[in-house]
Amino acid sequence: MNNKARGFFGERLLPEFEVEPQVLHRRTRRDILLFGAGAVAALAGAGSLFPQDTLTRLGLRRNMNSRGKE
Amino acid sequence: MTRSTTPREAARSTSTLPEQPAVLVARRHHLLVRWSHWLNVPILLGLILSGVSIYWSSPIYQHKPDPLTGNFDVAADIGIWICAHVPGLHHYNSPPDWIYNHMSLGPGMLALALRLHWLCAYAFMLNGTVYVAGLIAGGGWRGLLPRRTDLLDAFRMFQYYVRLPFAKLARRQWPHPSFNTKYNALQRAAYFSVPLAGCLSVATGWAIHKPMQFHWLAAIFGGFDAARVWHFWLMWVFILFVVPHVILVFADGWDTIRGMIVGWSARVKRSEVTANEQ
Repeated sequence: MNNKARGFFGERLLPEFEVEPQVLHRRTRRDILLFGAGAVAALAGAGSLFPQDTLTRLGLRRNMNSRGKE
Repeated sequence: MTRSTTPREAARSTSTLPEQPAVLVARRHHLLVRWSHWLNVPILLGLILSGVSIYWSSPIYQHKPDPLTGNFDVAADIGIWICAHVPGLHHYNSPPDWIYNHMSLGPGMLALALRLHWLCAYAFMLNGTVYVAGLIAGGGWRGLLPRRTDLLDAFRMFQYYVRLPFAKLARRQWPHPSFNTKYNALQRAAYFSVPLAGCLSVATGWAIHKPMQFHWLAAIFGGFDAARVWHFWLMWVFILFVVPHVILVFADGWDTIRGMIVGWSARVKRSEVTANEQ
């Protein structure tokens, strides 16, 4: 069934495509590394924004206070 | 007509390695949807932790002060109960603060919690806009719309989830109900209602944050105090959504998790949509 027959609100077929396994592996590795970098950045962001008391309670003894945070 | 071969094709034709066939994959999630999905994790965590810290300064659920301790906060009562009944917590130094020490930035941090809450709230609104843009750009919004068959399909899925652990224990086969849509009815209900809960959270948040300017908004939710109650329980909607969501995604396997990171899925057959399910 084509998309026109499904109407405006009807769910479309997910676009499918063929890709070489090497390309797929490369893109997957790139995206997962980016995801990991994002996770590390989020943790670093939490470390710089959360109060020291909270971080200490989470087991981070190192003083991560920056000027003006608290 | 002759066609010149590219260096890559020439290398392939001379290679002794067996040629790997191309893989068929389906594009499942738009880049903006994936980004906003993962950004929601730290943003929601920041909102919940700072929100509960704000709650500490003026709890919604209060009772008359306890004559012995002076405590009036129900959350503090729960902390006291936990420390009294859970082994290993009997010597906890501040039982009334147990909830706040474990579900928030901590007690006594109103100013900092408010600043962090607003920062996360603005990020949440921006991220919500990115999510909607991704849904529109990728056409994913159509997969979230409720349909006529949803009630029956949701019941089938509910039955499946309830009986699955028993089937696993008895080592019996318990086939997954087949759906030819991107999401099953329960997923669709959840993924449709969570953005709605997000919109309500934002609306109640503004009603609390600017009660003078948005008095009409607070009035829609039954006034300032009622808007706070809405806001509090909407937080629980997110928590109650996230817990089964994470469990089920892990249960569904690597393809589902990877799909939200890389955007494509190797499960191509399930992407077919039939007309009778519209």
